[in-house]
Amino acid sequence: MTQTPWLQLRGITTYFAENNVTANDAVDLDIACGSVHALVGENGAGKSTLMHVLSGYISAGAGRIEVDGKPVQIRSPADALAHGIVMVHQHPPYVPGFRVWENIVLGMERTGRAGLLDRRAAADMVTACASRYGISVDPHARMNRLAASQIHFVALLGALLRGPRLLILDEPTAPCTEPEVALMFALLRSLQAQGTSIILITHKLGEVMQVADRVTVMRNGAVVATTAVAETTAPRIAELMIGEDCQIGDFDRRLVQALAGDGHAAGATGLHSRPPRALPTGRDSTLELHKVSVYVGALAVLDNINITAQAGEVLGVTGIRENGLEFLEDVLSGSIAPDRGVVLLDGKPVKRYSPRHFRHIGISYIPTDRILRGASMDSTVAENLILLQRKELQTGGVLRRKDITAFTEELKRRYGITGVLHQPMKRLSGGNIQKVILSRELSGLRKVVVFSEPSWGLDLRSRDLMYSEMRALRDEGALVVLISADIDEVLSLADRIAVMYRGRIAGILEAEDRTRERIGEFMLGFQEHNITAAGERTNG
Amino acid sequence: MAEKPAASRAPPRAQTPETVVALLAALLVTVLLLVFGSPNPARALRAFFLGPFSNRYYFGNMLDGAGLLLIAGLGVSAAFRAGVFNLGGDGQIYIAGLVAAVVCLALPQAPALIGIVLALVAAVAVGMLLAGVCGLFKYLWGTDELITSFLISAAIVPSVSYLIVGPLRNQQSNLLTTERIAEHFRLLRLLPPSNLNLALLFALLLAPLAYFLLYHTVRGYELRITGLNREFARYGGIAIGAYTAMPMAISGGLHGLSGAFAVLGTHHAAIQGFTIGLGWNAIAVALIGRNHPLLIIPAALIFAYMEAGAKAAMLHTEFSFELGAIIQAVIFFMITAQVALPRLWLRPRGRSTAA
Repeated sequence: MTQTPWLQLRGITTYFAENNVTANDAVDLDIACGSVHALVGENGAGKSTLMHVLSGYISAGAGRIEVDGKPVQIRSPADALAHGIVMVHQHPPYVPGFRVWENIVLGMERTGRAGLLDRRAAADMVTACASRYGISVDPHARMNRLAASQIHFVALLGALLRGPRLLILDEPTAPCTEPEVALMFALLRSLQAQGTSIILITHKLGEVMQVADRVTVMRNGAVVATTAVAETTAPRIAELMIGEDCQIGDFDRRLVQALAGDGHAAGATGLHSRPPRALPTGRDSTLELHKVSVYVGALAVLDNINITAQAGEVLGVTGIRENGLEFLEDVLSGSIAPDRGVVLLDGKPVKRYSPRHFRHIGISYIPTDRILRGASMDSTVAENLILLQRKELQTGGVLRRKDITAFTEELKRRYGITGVLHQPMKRLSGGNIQKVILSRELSGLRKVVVFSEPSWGLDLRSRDLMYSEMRALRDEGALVVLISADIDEVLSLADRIAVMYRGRIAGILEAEDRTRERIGEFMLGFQEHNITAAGERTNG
Repeated sequence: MAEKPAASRAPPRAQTPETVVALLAALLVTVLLLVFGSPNPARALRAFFLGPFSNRYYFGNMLDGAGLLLIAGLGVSAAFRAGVFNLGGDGQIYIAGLVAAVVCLALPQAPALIGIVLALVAAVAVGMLLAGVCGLFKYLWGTDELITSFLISAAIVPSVSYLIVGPLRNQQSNLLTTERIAEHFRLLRLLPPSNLNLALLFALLLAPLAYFLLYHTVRGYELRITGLNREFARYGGIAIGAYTAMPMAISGGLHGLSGAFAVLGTHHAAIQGFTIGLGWNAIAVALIGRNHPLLIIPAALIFAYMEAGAKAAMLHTEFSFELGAIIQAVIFFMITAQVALPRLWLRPRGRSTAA
């Protein structure tokens, strides 16, 4: 598969003056025709920056790019496209009110007679391309109605329509369910067979081993190694990512060991111990959903949900995201009120369904949607961090600057947030944004913490830190709800696992009967009828 | 992502050049108009650039205009910052001016301080009411405050004009104006014979106060967060309903204050159309100042200077166009185009630090 390099990057250096970070330091990279090239590294290693340079979104300070042995200038995404380079972003930008086809043809609109947009031709083109690659998406759906994974597929479709020679994918599988991941990989292979090169940015080493031909490991803005995947192993890659030249501490060694088995087991390292926090209510809180239903039109997207979670446990909720996980997240965070049924905290029905009230009664929440809900991208990092502590950091309505600086510096240090506190949030990488959200939600005392898809985009180290935080919270007597479509994550963290299927709890699995296979059966609805009884058992 | 001023203590530098480019473009168009539209370009240019500084009268009037623009500009930004839009500033200023005049005319015997305070309070209250209602409607029923504030203002302007030329008209005057307010209500003039008065000092104190409230208080923080991302604000437990009605009311109140000062300090009477355009210019000023209370000070000065220069050029040459209106239109166009089409001037360098 690997031939002479089609694309060569030489000495690419990108320096961000405003936060004094050299994101890329003299990076060399060769991409062969028709290869799948994985790009791995921790959050902030410079992977996305490098790809933004290559796809024309930012300009490098130094270095050159050669296509077919000839130097080229890439000053804009249009320049990149002219050389066949197209990037699908980690959080693909889109126009919310637009339909799928409108979003896809934006920038390549074909006009018919009288200079008018030929709508039918555009929609047909999108439909044809989608069916060729086996992507199922309604070209007339509104973008803001789509799930995160569908938005990714739409962005991918848009990229494919532009006939790329090189397709850059930034964590394409992060929001995907397992069948979607399989679809994505099948698609990548067929593209590869057609001679398209692919650069895959990912945190999942399993994916690297599965689909990539070559892998480049980046650390601190520099390339540490590029090898053929066949000649290396996942633990070796993990070692390179974390750094072998600096002393491998106890933590890193265990992390590497954990990684070798399964990326998700990393939390087992159990490091980052901290002094235990006293919780306001001790160990007796309970959170109960009692006959909760939510309707969209006539469809019950949550259908008579009954679950009780106890303080001191991690309740995992898994399933295919579209089978009700989003709505469960919204109900548990007070973002929407159930149409029927109630949420009870400590046996008492909550008074109001608003995030404000839920926070007031001690429910903390890490949302799936980090960009719109979890962060204010135009506010500074510090302002994002103090959201929940604003009342504690003021005297007579005036914010105490010094205390804010101390508080935010502490969070930044503890969670290893890379970035400058007084800079806008939008300058941070995806993983760092999530670290800001996590550190904010876990600061202070909470009875209940709801995590929804918390590990998307996090690197191994941050994921490990989050998992140990989650366990520590539980051990200190907090009640943790983990909503995640990632079966492995739920398996390794949750004490009990509720599996959702079509808006219902298809089953609740206790310690003894939790296996991937069992969960899979419930997720896909195989056992729906037998298991209803089990679902109601917890209801008393 | 919207190109809005980032909420850091120091205003971000990267965005300033865009404003400067817009202002320079406006200046260039103005110079071209003067050169090609005037029979005596040299005189017109001289009048435009130096006119505002040529004597105390012009200079004082320019500063007076800047003071009113500054207060109204702060009003515009109070709403903008919370993500709501008060397009009814023009009507709010106009009616508040009339109300201030009427209060003073109704109580000619009142002590100076009481009369002035009453006039200011009444004017602020009427501004708050008119804009606050739009915010309240948005909160209650989701009506678009941009439309309601504009429409209410559009109805207010002719109504106020009717009152000034009709029932409240001073029959002795040649102007379409109310009677002049009693001498002891008039604010101290700082640079006679110009209109410059104490209102400017008040405006200059108001800007840092607004800055403090916006950047150093919890409510200011909540207001800015709500303006930048309502979903995030709601998620964080901020009462976003309050930050719909309240900023509109504050915005209307500041416009009202500007209208009151136009009567108490500048004109001493409500004259037909005497503040028309001030509300719109204040929007341009707020945009030039990127809705930052401290940057609005130079923005108001620059805008007032260009406006005064245009007036001087018209008076000193046979320039036939409504030059002032054209210059305002050019600035307005350049600034709003730059807000609507961000990132066209400058390539985004270092937009994100990578994953």
